[in-house]
Amino acid sequence: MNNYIKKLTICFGVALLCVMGSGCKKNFLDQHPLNQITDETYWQSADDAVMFATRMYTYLPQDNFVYYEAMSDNAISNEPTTRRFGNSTQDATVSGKEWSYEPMRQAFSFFAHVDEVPGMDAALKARLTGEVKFVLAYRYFIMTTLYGDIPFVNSLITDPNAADIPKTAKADIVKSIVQWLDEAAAALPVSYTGTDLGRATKGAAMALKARVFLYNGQYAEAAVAAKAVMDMNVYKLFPDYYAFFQKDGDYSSEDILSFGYTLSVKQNGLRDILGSQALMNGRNILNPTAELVAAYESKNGYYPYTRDPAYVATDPFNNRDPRLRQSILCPGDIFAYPQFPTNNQYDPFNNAGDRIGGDLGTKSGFSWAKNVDHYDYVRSGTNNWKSFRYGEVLLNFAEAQNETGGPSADVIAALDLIRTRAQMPSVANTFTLNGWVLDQTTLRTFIRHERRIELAGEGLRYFDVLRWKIGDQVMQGAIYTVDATAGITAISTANGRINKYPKSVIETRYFNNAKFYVWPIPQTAVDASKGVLTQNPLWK
Amino acid sequence: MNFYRPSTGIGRWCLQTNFLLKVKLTFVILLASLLQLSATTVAQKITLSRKNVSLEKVFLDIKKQTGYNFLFVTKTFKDLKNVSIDVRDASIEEVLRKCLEGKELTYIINAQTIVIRRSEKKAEARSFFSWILKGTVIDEQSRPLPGATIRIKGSAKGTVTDKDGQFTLEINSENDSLAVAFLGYDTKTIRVGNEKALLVQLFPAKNTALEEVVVVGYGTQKKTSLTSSVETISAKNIENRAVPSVLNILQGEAAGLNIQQTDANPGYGSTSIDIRGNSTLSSNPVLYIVDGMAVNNINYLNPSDIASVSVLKDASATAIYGARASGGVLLVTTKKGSQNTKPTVLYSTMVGFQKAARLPEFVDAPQFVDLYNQAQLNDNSWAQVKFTPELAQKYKSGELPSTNWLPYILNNQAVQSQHNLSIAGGGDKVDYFVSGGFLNQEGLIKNVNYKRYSTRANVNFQVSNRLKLGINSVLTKEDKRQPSYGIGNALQWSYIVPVTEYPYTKGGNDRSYRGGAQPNDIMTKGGIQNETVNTINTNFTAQFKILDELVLNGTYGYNYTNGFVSAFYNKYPLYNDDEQIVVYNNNPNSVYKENSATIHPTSLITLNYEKKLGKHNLKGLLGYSQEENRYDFNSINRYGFLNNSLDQVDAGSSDPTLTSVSGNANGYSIRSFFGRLNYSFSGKYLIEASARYDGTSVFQNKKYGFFPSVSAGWVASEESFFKPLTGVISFLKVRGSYGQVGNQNASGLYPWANTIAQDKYILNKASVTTTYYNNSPNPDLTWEVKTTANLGLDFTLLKNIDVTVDIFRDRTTGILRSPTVPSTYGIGAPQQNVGELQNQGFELSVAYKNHIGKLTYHASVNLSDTRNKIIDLGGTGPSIGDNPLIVGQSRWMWYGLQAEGLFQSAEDIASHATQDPRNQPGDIKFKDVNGDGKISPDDRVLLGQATPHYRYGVNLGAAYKGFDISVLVQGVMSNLLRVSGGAQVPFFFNGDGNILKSQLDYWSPSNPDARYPILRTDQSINNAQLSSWWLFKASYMRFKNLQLGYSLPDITVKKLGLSSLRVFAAADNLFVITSKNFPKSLDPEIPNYGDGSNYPQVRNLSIGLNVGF
Repeated sequence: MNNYIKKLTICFGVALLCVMGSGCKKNFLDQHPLNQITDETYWQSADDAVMFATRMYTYLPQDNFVYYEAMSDNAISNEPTTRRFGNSTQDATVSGKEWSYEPMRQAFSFFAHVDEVPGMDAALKARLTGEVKFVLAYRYFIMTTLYGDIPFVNSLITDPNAADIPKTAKADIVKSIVQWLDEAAAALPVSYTGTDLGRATKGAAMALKARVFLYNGQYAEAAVAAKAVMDMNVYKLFPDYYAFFQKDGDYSSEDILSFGYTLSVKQNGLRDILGSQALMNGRNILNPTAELVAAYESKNGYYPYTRDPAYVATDPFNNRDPRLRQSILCPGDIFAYPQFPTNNQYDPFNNAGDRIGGDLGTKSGFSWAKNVDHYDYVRSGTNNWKSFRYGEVLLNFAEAQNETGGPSADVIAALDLIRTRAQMPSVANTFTLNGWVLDQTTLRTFIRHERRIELAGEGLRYFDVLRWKIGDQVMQGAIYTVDATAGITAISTANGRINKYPKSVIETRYFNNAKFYVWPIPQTAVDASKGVLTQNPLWK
Repeated sequence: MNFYRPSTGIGRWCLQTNFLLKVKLTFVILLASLLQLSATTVAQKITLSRKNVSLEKVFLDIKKQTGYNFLFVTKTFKDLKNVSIDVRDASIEEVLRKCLEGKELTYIINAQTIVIRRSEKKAEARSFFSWILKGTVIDEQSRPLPGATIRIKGSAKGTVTDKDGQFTLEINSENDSLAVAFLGYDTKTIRVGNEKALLVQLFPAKNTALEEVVVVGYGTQKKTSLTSSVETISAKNIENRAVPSVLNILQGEAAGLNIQQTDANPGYGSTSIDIRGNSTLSSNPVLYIVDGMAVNNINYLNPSDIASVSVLKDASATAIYGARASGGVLLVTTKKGSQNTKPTVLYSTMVGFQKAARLPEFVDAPQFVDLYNQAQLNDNSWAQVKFTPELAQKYKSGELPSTNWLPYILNNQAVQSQHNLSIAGGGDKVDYFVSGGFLNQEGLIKNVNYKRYSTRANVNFQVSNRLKLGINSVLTKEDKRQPSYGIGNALQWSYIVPVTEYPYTKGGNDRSYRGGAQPNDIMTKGGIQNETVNTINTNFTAQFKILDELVLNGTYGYNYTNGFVSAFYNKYPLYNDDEQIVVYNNNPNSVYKENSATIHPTSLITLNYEKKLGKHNLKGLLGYSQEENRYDFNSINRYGFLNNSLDQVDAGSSDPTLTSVSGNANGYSIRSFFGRLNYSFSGKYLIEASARYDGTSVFQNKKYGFFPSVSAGWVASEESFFKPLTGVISFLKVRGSYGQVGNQNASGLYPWANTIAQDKYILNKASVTTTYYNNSPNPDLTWEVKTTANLGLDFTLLKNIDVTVDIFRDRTTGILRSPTVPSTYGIGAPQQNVGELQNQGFELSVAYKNHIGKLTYHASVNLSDTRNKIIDLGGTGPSIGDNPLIVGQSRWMWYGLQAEGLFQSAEDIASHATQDPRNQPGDIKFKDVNGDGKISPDDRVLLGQATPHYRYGVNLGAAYKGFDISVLVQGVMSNLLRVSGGAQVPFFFNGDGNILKSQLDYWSPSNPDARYPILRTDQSINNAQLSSWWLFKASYMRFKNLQLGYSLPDITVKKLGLSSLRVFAAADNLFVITSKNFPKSLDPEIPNYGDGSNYPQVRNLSIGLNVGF
């Protein structure tokens, strides 16, 4: 018995030692998140690097970039913040839209970790690094464009207390942007195939570089950069202007870089933002201005279109630049929207959904057609957002080259590509028709107008207004609805319907101060800084 | 228990029952005669002269002269010869010796009782070295005292009395002394001498509270030598309550233990608990320890298994639990058996009828239509009223019904029953406590039910003199049923659907209200949710005595909780009055299944040392523990079942888009080293130091924290200079403590981790997975540290009044906040240890215990309060809202407009600051604090404390003969409660809900001093916003428990073959008294922003039975 107890006691002692022994394992206090991987166990394979680099594309312009259109004279929006930018009542509390250093943090995290990936293919690493640099360059480009001088984060900040850094001059940041883009262009392929389709290419880096130079008034460099894209002989205009902005144009020869959407995973919100309520179940958040509609030439190239001998006051939207009705729904337009076969006339005077001033109705009498997906009946669309396209490159080249050396054959040739695709008369014919003399100034006017029409609804007009410093001319005074005092014959008056609408004021804009050319630093960012980050001088 | 009875007749002295024959030890006849009459007139000297009289007569004479009671422990007196005696001024011993000469009888004098028993025959008396001592322990009323402990002083040997108060013990030396102790009684020390039979009578301790042994962290301590702030709640206060959850039972039982039952939903109800108030800006929940092991909650515990609950309050008590103790610690100890005791079988049962303590009372339809019309006209004097005169007339004439919706929500009756059976006892090598319990709580609300099945086994084996092994295991299964449309807030339906609606169409179909459900269908047809929670907690314990003074304890505990939820949402049609289907509710129908499991293994090793050297008493503890916690969860939703008859996932639609799943898991681990040293000198000077070195997985670079504490006490009443005072103050102890504890409750368990999240991007029209860093880690994050100073005073006044006073102040530093970081950091602000908060308060408890003859009674009162103050927000504030965070202010304050009354006239409005929109006489008038002529958010001011203050509890009790009564009252003296929704303004929901009767005190020109503003259906106006007007004074006093019991006399009980039997009636939550203007239909414990539509507090009237076998 005693023996037995002794044995038991020994067993117990041994068991106790075991418990203590196992308990004393060194990593007992190392617990890791079970739903999410941490960087300690990431960066194990090339796939990890690919997935991380790909996330950077979400920092590029996407569907909501279209709101910039409503900050310009091309459109007006219900969305409160953009509306305030549109009528120049913005302040530092609403200017945070593009103020984000998250992309920089993610980008520099990538640079810091990509070397950890064991056996990483050098070519792939170079390409991914190029892609990330492209996004990084874009982010600094958009921020410097809007805010001017900003803090320049050029490494991964690990200590929040070391993050409070002063502004760097915009020109210095632009140098880095250009350098990143050059490096990216060198590393990126000309094109992708298969599942990689949609990534940033050499052409995208060069196209962005052309835009950067153009926006910064470095016309010679802009012209060279744009020409380089043209000389790649990779890109050409998509034959159909309207179809290019549908999913038909996704990854096409004109699509240099676009933000991807697809039905099953992620759709864009463009129908919601741009679409007509009655025809497309959109919400008419953003409408073209009547002034934009009036800017389209007549079909033959008369400008303004009322000069065209064929002009009829009761049928103002016919006999116009075809791009008008490929971009904008005008009163009386028959729009064959496949999901609504019985209701296909756009009628902002009579139709309950679209009626001017209605809850979800249009504000101006116009609605958008461009970029609104007409294939799928869902609230949102599946067409990519084309952030860089060859048409813009041609226009960038034309403008930059004209600013550098005045009218030249290659400028005219580039513009004629645009005109031809739009089924509009050539530059020469248009100048003759309107009796204009071809010199640098006239051509500048023509190019600016052509940009406005060709790029309408793409969000780019606002940046042109800022860099051309024409805000006080084009974003000042009343914004009107459609002028249908004469009646629109395309709209039947049967059943008591009306076809007239008096030109009336939607709102009044006040772009009367130089300070509106640069955004205020967001107040939250100023507040979060301990006096290091100062407000832009005009906004103090 | 009284199976003796007062008697003057000698012939009835000897009572013999069959029952007693069963008692192996000896035949016991306990007789007492006339003893109750003269207990106070004890004389020591006897003068007596009798010749040849019976022994009984002599004893009777002695009793008359001395007041001594006689107790006989023998079979019979019949064979005894008569005696002759002649003594003068003799001592009682002398007289007895003479009487018993040559009669093989011996006596024992114990206090005022003389026990006569037969002498043991020499042959069976003793071996040379040891003998068996038999004894009986009785209480002050000479009833056997089961469960008293008998310990041979200076050795570990001892035993416990059985249910008849008897014990046997092997004695080795005549010089041995026995210490006989029973909780609440004075311990008695007796030298064994050569006695073979002993009768020990124990008397209730004068100072019961101070004699108590208190369970503290990793050990026990006598209350007298305690230097920290610990309060104990005994089993007596926990048993026999018709309240399912332990926490709710504890409400009002201890000062500084703040409990508020905000919702009484069976199995889901919410109870907020803190110890000593709010000491951080994050959260520091109370740490629950059950039998030495940390557990995540204590809802699974069967209250009748609990032996005691200790509330550890100051740093000196809690520092031994280190990093998780900043919210205080609740130590629960479950019942245990004792070696060498007979099995005690106890059965208790209760059956009760539940009613809602308070329910909303609504105005009926005939009155409602007028009030509603009036409200609409008040909004807009040209309004088209909802109830036209014709329609209103239909309601008034009864042509259209007035519907009281409550019966469609509530059950007619809700029974609650519970049964508990336990067996405790032990043999030479084993002690055990096993129990089983069952609780069935039917819901006040339809389709609500809660069942709890619990079993427990606490068993210890003495393997050898040095080794003891044990198992402590509980298995609880909880079944919870609810209507699946949602848990709680069922009563809200009675606010929403107007009394002018009715449940069924003429055709008997479920009617739709505003295209949706009504209470009649949603409660019974919407589907059921069942949840089962299984809890298994098993501890394996081992105790190894290395030396007599040095004991090694090891415990491995495994806690496992598994939950399974199964809910089905029935699809069913709703009709309009034309008998057309308007809508299907829950369309498509769906099922929800959820599995979750928590495992929590703990290893614990402690080394205990205790040594007494003369007047020096030294106790030491060293310990090591490690814990892990792992939680797993997954759930499935599937829609589109063919009908409502099957509720399994596979029976649902096969369309993949009609299924959704989710799952996650997390874990943490803790490793700790701790120690404690107690030293006391002469029982007067007490000092204690403890510390814990805690490591946690939650932090990375600063995983370990050190939490020390010291405390000291001085028992002044033991000093010789104090002696003159002991008549008034018989005990006085001053104590103080200072120490630190921590709080590891960061938001999330991995605040250091740089986690990678997934996202998607579209390439070539197809989705690809992308990743990014989504967390703002802080690898340097560490514990919040709370430093507490506590001063305490324990004293006993006039021998019967025990008073404990504590005052404390603590300061928590390094509170986790997320101060703004520069935007250039590129990701959200990480948590940092920056905030600072101070908290201070007091606790007072007074207990009084006494008896008048056989009437014993006791009363105790506790009162406490705390106040906190934000010292530093670490650059994160101030944040302004209803409960703002402002440096220098309390953590929970109300912040809003100051109401000045109601506008009485248009001139009143015109002359007041502008209040938009649309004010009229009868609306609330707000103070223009900043004087800018308009009422805006800038006029908000601090309106008062947003937490209850001055909480108290009162316990009263008395017992007389077999009867006992006890009362528990609990309340708070000061509270400002923000009610909302329909409880605040009438017609709340969609502007056409119901109106409470309490809201009839509304403003009108003839009722200018109304409590409620003018009737409105438009809630967009100012009246509803947070202002002092809507902060109801919500102090209350609740009669939580009243219990009336009767214990049957022992003689009756024994005849039934039982050892004890008590019947009782109890009322829980009998009534509540609230502040004057507090709505009578609301419970004062509802949470802030409550509207009284949550599950109401329950009033339970029950009867019960406690049986011992």
